[in-house]
Amino acid sequence: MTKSVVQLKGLRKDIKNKTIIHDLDLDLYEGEVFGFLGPNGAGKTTTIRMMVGLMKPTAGNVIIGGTSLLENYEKTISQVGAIVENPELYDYMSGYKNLIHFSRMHKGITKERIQEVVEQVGLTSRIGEKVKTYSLGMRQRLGLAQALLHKPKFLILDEPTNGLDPAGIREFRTYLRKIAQEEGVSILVSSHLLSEIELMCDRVGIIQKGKLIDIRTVKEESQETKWTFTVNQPIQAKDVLEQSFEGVDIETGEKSISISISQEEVPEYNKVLVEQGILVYGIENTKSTLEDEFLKVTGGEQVG
Amino acid sequence: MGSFVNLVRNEWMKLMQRKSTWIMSIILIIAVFGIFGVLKWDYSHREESVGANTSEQRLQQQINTYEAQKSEAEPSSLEYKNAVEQIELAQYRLDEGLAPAEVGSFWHVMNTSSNFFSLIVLFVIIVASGILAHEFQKGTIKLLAIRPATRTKLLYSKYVTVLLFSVAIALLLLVSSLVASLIYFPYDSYTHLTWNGEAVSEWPAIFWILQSYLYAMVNVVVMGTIAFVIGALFRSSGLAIGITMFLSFATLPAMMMLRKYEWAKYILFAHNEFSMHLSQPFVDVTPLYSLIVIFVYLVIFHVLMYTSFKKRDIAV
Ligand SMILES: Nc1ncnc2c1ncn2[C@@H]1O[C@H](COP(=O)(O)OP(=O)(O)OP(=O)(O)O)[C@@H](O)[C@H]1O
Ligand SMILES: [Mg+2]
Repeated sequence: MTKSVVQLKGLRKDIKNKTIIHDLDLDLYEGEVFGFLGPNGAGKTTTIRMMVGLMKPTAGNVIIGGTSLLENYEKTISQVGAIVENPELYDYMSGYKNLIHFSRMHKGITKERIQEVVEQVGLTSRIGEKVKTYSLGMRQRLGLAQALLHKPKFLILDEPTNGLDPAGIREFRTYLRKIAQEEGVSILVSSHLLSEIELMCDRVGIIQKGKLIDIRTVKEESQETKWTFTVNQPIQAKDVLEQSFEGVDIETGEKSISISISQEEVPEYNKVLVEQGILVYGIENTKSTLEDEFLKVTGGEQVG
Repeated sequence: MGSFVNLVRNEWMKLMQRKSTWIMSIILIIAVFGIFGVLKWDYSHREESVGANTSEQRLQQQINTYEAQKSEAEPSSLEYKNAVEQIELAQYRLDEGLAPAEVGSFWHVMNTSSNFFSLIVLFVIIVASGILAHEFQKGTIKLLAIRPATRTKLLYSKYVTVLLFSVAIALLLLVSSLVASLIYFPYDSYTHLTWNGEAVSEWPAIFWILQSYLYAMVNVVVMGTIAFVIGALFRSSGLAIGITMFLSFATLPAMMMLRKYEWAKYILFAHNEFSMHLSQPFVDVTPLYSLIVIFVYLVIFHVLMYTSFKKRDIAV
């Protein structure tokens, strides 16, 4: 792939003699949207805190754009924009004053740039009002605006869609893909929602109990669903279907067969089975492989 | 350097955007006008008894009182020194025909305005306690700390803002006192005198006022720094206000009891009420000595705060 923008090298964090993050190694590439997936308490926020210098790593280093966060803090952090957990802003000031405030902390942010970002996040009509009066989603948008102001090379978003409405989420997704592709920004999005991560990320890292247990590319087929037919005679059912549909990949179980097909094809398959005298007791949509993995991690409790 | 100025501008903007800042300013103005109004009413009712003697007679009375005090006191004691000073000043006024500031005159009332510094100390404690701690309590510290400004710069931009606020609110006191005095009280000319142990010197009246303000500022800075340091160490504004307010009330009676010991002069709270050098100091030291002790303590507080703030994680 292209060159890596962010490197985590043996990142570790101990709090009160307990290891919360275990020697994490990770490379993020230019123009890539990386999903950081894990159940509650897995260590996503802690990792992010170390990546932005809020917490000092017990061991390891964070390299961003070739410079080390620990050795050259000001230069390294100026390439980063972030939201860590909730975007807490100054609620006694207007959204605009909040942005002025953050813009003064970077070099060369013009009034025009602020205006541009405000438009991008869709806050133009309310930017002059006090943040106190904002809804959760509007705060999230303002949080995104402050992270984008200085055109960072690397954007870190910790559960960014929390509070956004469906239209807002879609807009947000499109926008992230756009800045990743057009401006080569590398983006890390954390979430415990698989569905969300799958839709917007190129790669996903699954973290559990402070360990990165798997990194995989979000492939097209992972979005294809698998259907399980519960039948009386799985072997025969397999034969029957293989005769009717060319090149179909069928797994047989003890009392079922699983086929990777789209929803539209399900009735046809069912019809064939029934016509051939096979008893179909049930048809079930099983999760994709990424979701299987994630379910194993989370114990199947947290997928929304 | 430019970036540090921007940080201070940010802090100032946030301070000015807070309602509490304006409420404090308005309370100060109301207090000045209200209390000066009461004083005017009070003085206008006492006029006859005060006006009975001429100012010369009163200066002579003053000299007699202090002569008596001087003869009773030990020549090395603070009381003795003070009596000598008062006698010299009164005698100079008699010789040169310089009237003292009459009770109820413009400059006399202006001088009492430095009493409002107890209110200023309170306001500065409130601001200093909250300026950093609020960022932790509200979680805004995260978005502040992930910018290209080191923690040292963040911390000191806030401290500088507290100092600026102290100066600004003292100026507000000066201006509102001037306006209230001009409205309420008759203006008369006055020359201020000081005694350096050998000779008397004359000063324009405004120097007298500025000096009392400047001396009172020392305590503002000390208390403001303590509040700021506690706020930074514990990241809680309530705790910082509580402890600092307690110190500002409790140390005075405590020092009254402890002043007789030799080591009392090494304690910060024997010096923070620096205005005492305008009348009688707690302990027998020069103003410079007091300033040095204060400076040493403030440096220790800063080192404590700085090392803690630099290395601790921000996990809010
Ligand atoms: N300051 C702290 N002191 C002690 N333990 C902490 C601290 N911060 C985090 N932890 C622990 O570290 C672990 C990881 O927490 P973290 O906030 O990183 O999880 P997360 O993946 O962001 O979870 P979520 O999805 O709920 O946001 C948790 O077990 C948490 O209790
Ligand atoms: Mg989290």
